[in-house]
Amino acid sequence: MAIFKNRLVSKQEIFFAFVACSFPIYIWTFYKIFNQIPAWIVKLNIGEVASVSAYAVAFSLFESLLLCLFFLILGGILPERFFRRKFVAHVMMMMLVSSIWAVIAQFNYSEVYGWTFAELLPWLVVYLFSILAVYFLIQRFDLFAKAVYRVVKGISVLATLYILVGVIGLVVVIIRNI
Amino acid sequence: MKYPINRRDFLKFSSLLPLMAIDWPSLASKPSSSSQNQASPNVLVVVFDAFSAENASLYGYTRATTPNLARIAEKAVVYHHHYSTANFTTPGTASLLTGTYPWTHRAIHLHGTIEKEVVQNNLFRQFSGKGYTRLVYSHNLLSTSLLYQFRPDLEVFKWPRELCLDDNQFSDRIFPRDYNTAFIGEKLMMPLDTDVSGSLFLSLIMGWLRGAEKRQIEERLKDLYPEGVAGQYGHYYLLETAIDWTIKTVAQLPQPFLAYIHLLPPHEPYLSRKDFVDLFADEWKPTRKPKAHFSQGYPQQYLNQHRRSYDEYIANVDAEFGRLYDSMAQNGLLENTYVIFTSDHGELFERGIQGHSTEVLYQPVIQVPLLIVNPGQTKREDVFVNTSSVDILPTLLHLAGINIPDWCEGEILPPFANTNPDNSRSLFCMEAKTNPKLAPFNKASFAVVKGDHKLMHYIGYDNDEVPDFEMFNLADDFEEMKNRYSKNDGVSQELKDILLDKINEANQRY
Repeated sequence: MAIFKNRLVSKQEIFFAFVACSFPIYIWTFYKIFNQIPAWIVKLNIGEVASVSAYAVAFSLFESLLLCLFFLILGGILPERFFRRKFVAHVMMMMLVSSIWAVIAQFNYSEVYGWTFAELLPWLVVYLFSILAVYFLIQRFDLFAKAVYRVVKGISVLATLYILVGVIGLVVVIIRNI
Repeated sequence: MKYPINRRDFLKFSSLLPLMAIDWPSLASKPSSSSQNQASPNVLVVVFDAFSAENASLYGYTRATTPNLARIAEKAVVYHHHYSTANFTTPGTASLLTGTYPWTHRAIHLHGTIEKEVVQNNLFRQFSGKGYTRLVYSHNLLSTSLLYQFRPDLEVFKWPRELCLDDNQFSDRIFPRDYNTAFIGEKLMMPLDTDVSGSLFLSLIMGWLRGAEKRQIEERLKDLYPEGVAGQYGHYYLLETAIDWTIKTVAQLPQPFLAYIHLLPPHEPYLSRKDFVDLFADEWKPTRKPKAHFSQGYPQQYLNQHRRSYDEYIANVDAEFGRLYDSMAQNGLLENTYVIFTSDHGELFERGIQGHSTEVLYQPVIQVPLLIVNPGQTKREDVFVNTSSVDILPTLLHLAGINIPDWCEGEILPPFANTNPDNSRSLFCMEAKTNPKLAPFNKASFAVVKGDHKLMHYIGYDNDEVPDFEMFNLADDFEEMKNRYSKNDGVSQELKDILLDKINEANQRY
């Protein structure tokens, strides 16, 4: 148990990691929701639009938790100096780079959908290289890591609001299904 | 003290607990075969999605697409001028199942639903308390949204995935109590088609896995389906599987039953079984028509290629429906079953337009086949008066001996009605995908058909090239080549007045 505790980051770091995960996920979901609202309002009433949005933000909460869990496990597995020492900065930068790639993939989804693993592999390699690049930047430059940490602290207020919206969405979904 | 049951008996009893999971109330409402009401006929409605009457040789199409329908028609009633109320699934199906026009049921959008006040006015509710087992299945997720609204009136509701090759949808499984809303949420967040998804990461992983699964399915079935396996919203299906299930199910259902089966073929993608691929590798070319004001810009050669694939898919559908019919004949079900063969809308391959995602209401996209196999009928009966999908509900009620409610906007079809066929009746079709659901129609297309004439009216489109009205005489111009609309023409004015009155009446509610 003590070994397990030693490998877990602090509560504050978990919170900031969750902020780093949820921020791009919610931004994207809100973009899609606002993008769809003109199409929804012709066929759904306000309550129905709110309910559909509740499903979307609840899903984003789930997605954020899943990714945060992944980083916590990664932090637990890797030696402290490789990941946990600058945990929040690593998570934020990995999320940022992954989000850029994910947005590119989203806009080219009709092609990506049809790719075989062999076709996907070169892009996965490029993606991993970009992740490694930001990883070494954080590891090498403390100032950069600190700047990233400050950014995460800065967005934490906004992200807290997103998380709150996600929790409300989850409650709405539960109420609609009992 | 001696207990009435010992530990062994208790364990035996416990092993029966899983049986509690069975939906006893619904089974209890089903009549047993011994108590079945032999006087009440069974009703089987089979809807093949996007089946245009124009492409059926039963109605004179050049290619021999429907030899089985022609054979079945020898002992059935064949409707030659049958219209859907709309040019896509949601409004067309809602009209068929409610006997009302789209301006009444208001299911006018993709994934739209029937207005709450109208939803109880459905075919299945009318059959309640008459001893019928009511079953529905649809491949099409658009009509599933409608059928889901009728669930309180159904004994058996089967989800689309249950007859599909994959099982990727989750809103039906996790949120069965709130499916219609959850489904729109799922469609936003996860890749049911190839749109950008609202989930940034998981949708990509899921989407790629679904793509890989699709490739596996196609690889597995490539000998039978060399051009690929058809699918919609990430569900892949085989028509043959659905027909096998229908054959088995109708043979086992407690009688009398009312079954509504909505199958996607010949809806796009037009991917037939190998027996039908290249069936129409001929040189035949349809009449070339001028580009429509809503042309999607497809060249004629492209349209002809797609029409050929569609015709081959129709031949596939025809063969499968023939198989269902033969099976029902063999097991004696046809002696007490009305079988209704129809579609929710048609398909276009002309004027630069392909498919049915269009604002136009030309004949191929609204004229659909209708055959009623009548128990005991020994010779073919042809009906040439105009009929509409809103007529199916009152006809089925009439055939089952159930009173027709006042809200129904259709009439009993000839020859089942006691009155003479009336061709002076006005029938309506419309498209209003982008018009708000509960608002006056300010962006929509309408058509009225009366006798030999058809008038189309386009409202609210920005394109200056779109005419306000088009009128055709279908008796001598069934290809709709010559617009005869004129302000000085009596027929034009009469149809215009009828249509505008109807639109005004529909708009008065808002």
